[in-house]
Amino acid sequence: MNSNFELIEKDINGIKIIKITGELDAMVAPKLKERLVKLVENETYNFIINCEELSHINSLAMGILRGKLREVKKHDGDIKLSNLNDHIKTIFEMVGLDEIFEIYATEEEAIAKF
Amino acid sequence: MKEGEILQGEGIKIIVPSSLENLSLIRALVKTYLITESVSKKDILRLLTVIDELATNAIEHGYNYHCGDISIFMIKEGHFVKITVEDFGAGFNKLKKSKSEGGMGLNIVRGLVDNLEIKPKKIGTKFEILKEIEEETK
Repeated sequence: MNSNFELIEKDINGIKIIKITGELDAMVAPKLKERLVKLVENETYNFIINCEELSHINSLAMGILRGKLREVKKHDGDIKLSNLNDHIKTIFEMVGLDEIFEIYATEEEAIAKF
Repeated sequence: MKEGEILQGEGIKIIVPSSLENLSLIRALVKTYLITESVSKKDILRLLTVIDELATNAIEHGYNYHCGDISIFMIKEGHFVKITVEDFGAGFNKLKKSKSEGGMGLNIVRGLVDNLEIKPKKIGTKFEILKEIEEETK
C-alpha cells in the first residue's frame, strides 16, 4: 500500500517551507525526522510546515515536530504550521500542541509572521 | 467471516502481521468498510486516526517491533461503531514510557471516542472502543 507521502520544499525569505502531502504515519514519520535533522544540522532554523495536502498524521510525527520546535527555538528559530484541515487541527488541539505551535490559515500569513 | 472480508451489517475483521508497513493497508480496509456503512467523512477521519494510533501502539509496545499478529474487528451498530484492537505481545504497561517523540497516541484516542477500555490479557492487550457516529447525508 502507498500512503502517497511526500515532502515538497521551497525557500522564501530565508524560511524553509515544507509542504507535506499524503498520509504521515509511523512508517514514514522517520523520513520527516531525517530531513529536519539534516536541515537543522545545516543551520536552517526557520520553518513553515504547510499541511494543505496532509490527509492523516500520527502522534509520532506530531512528537517529532514538537521535538524539533524545541530545538530550533534554542537558535531563535521557529516552526510555524499552516493550512491545517479541520481534522488535523482538532488533533493538535486535543493534545495541546496548538498552544506551542503558531498555526496560520495560509502559508502567506505564516511567512508574514517571521 | 473471512479475514478482510466486508459484509454489510457483519463488520470487518482484519488480521495482519505487526509491521509498520501494514498501517496503510489497515487504514484502507477500515476506510472502505466505513464508506460501505455510510459513516460521515468527519467520523471516518477520526476512526482512521483511532485505528492507526492503536495499531502503531501494538507494533511499538505490544511487540517492540518484533513479529506478531494484530487483530482488528470493527462493526457499525445503529449510530455506534464498536472496535476491538488486539495484540498477543508483551501486554500493556501504563508506566512504560514511549520514545521521546511519543506519548500522545492514547490521549488522542481517548479524545476521539466515547469509551475506551484497555483489557490486559494473559498474552497481550485488548483495546475496546465505542464511538457514536453520524451517517453521511445523501
